[in-house]
Amino acid sequence: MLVENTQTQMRKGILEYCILSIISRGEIYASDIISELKIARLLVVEGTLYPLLTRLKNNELLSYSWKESSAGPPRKYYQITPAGQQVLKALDETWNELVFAVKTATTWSPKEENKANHS
Amino acid sequence: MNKTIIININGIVFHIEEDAYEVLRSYMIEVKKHFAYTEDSKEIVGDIENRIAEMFSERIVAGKKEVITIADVEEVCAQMGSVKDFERGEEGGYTDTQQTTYGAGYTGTRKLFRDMDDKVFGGVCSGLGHYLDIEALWVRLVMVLLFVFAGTGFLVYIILWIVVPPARTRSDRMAMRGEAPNLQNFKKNFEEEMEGLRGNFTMAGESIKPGLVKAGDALEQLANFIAKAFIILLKIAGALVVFGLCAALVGLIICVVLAIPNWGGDNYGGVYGPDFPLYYIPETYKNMVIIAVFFSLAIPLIALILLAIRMVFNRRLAGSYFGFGLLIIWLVATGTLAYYAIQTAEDFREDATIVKEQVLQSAPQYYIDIHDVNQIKQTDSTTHSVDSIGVIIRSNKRMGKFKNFGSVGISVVKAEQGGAPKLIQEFRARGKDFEVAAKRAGRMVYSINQEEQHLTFDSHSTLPKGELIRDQRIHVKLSLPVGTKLFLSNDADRYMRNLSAWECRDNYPEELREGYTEWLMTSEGLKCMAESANEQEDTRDSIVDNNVDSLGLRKH
Repeated sequence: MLVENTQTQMRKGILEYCILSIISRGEIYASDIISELKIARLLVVEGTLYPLLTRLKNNELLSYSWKESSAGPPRKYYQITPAGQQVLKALDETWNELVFAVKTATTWSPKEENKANHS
Repeated sequence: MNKTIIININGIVFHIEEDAYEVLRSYMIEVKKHFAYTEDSKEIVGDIENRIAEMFSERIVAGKKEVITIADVEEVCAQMGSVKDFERGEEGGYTDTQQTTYGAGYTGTRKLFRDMDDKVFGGVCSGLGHYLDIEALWVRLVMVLLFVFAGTGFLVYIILWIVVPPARTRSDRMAMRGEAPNLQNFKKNFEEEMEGLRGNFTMAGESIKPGLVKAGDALEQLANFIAKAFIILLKIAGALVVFGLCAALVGLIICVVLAIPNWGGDNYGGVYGPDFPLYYIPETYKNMVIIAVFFSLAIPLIALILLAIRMVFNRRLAGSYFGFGLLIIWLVATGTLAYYAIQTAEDFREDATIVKEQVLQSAPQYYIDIHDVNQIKQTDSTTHSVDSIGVIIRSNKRMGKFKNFGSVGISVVKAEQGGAPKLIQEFRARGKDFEVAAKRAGRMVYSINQEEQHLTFDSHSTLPKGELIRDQRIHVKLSLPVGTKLFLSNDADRYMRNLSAWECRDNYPEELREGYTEWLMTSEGLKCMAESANEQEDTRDSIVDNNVDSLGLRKH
């Protein structure tokens, strides 16, 4: 249970960070976000994305605009807000810190096996 | 060939095959259920629907492919991800764990539907078969046997046909088979159906198997069949019990409706006759009593019906709050009833008798006749048939002026030495104290009409409208001097209390038996003239015996 919970917590933060990063590159449609995430092996199905996007939008990190599409109904295109930019910046820093922290913590472990695994 | 349905997703119209629609619908229901408790669930579901619409329109090629098929829906749903995937997604993202097939071991309750795919008349038997998890053939057999031997099979079938809904949609059909209505089962169900279609062509050759192989199975099947038949019989018995209880409830409601005042125009007791217990209850709390009686009888019936349904059909129709509510109402109703019962019983505590004496015009002989107050018209008592009595009594109730209650008792006694012929009327009634009882007795209406030698007695005392029944009785003593002759009409016989009038009548020849019997007041009491003429020597003792009452009265 504990392991699962930790995994969940780790992924959750990273997933939101990744989504913000993808959107920060410019206006993008939800299914294009998913294809990028699929390549990154973070998400596989589209349905999962919508709750996340809605949550980010509610926190005013994202906004969207409706655009006409050639096939089918108008689409929601997502873009990052200034507040989102700031959060992303903070997250970038945190991520770098985390990478450093994890690297340090795992490589400098006094145990021999860990050294062997990660060096 | 497939039936298509037109659906509208976010303003775009699609033609979708019926099966595909069922799958899509159940998918969307699951999605909605999943997001029901998340913030902005509407927006999320809307996004998903929108995307589904877009993916559908990508698949439509005008002129070539205009209908969404089940394959399209499955692909779109797979791309969108199942609710299971969402759950995992919320936990964090991609994991490689094998998707478990949930719902396979679903043991939910089956629902009773009529199976429209496997029917002879209305699909009742095959529906019952699904419900009881046995082959429809056996149900049909039982139904036919019931029809032939008990005659009720037909009725049961018709009732079920009317009551049980047909399984119209795929989800109905799945509920009928006890499968959980989720996406996996929809697919399974659909695939099975397709298999079934294909199977029909190949099964023909397979079905002719060597008889020996089947023999072993047959025994096992027989045992299964007997066990299942027993369960079916239990269920049928239970259904009949439920039916009977429902009928009783309906009957009770009808009774209460008919008890509503003014229904029969007599302002009291509805269409019920004078002997109906409502006449024992004072007007002021009569409605309360009707309501209390209704609830104290109806609630146990309802409880029994619900219990029986729960036991037989494994369906719980009402929650525990409902049950508690019923219990409280029932307790209140029975409490009310008990209170009024005690109140009413109190009114029977004392009894009072009022005596009226009346001296008759003296005559050497009297004729006693009876006026039947239950008849509107004075008709010849010998000609009316049973039917016309019914009509008369009913019309009398409708008139509703009086309640006739308590037939008169007439005794004939010997007058004091040298006394005049007298009529002594005793009115008796009960009440909560002597005064009330005496007033009640005083309000009783009874009349005796004298025209020279002819005395006509009312058959019953009557009570004025609104009077309660409190054990009112009327007794009339006819006191005659010695030597007076008395003639009793045929009608009067049954009102005589101290005479063996019928025995006397037996002494008359057949043709005279309908007429008057002749009696004579002697010093030893009233004597039947015909009897003493027939058995002059040895009947004196028996006459004395017959007149024990009048002798006894004389001693007083």
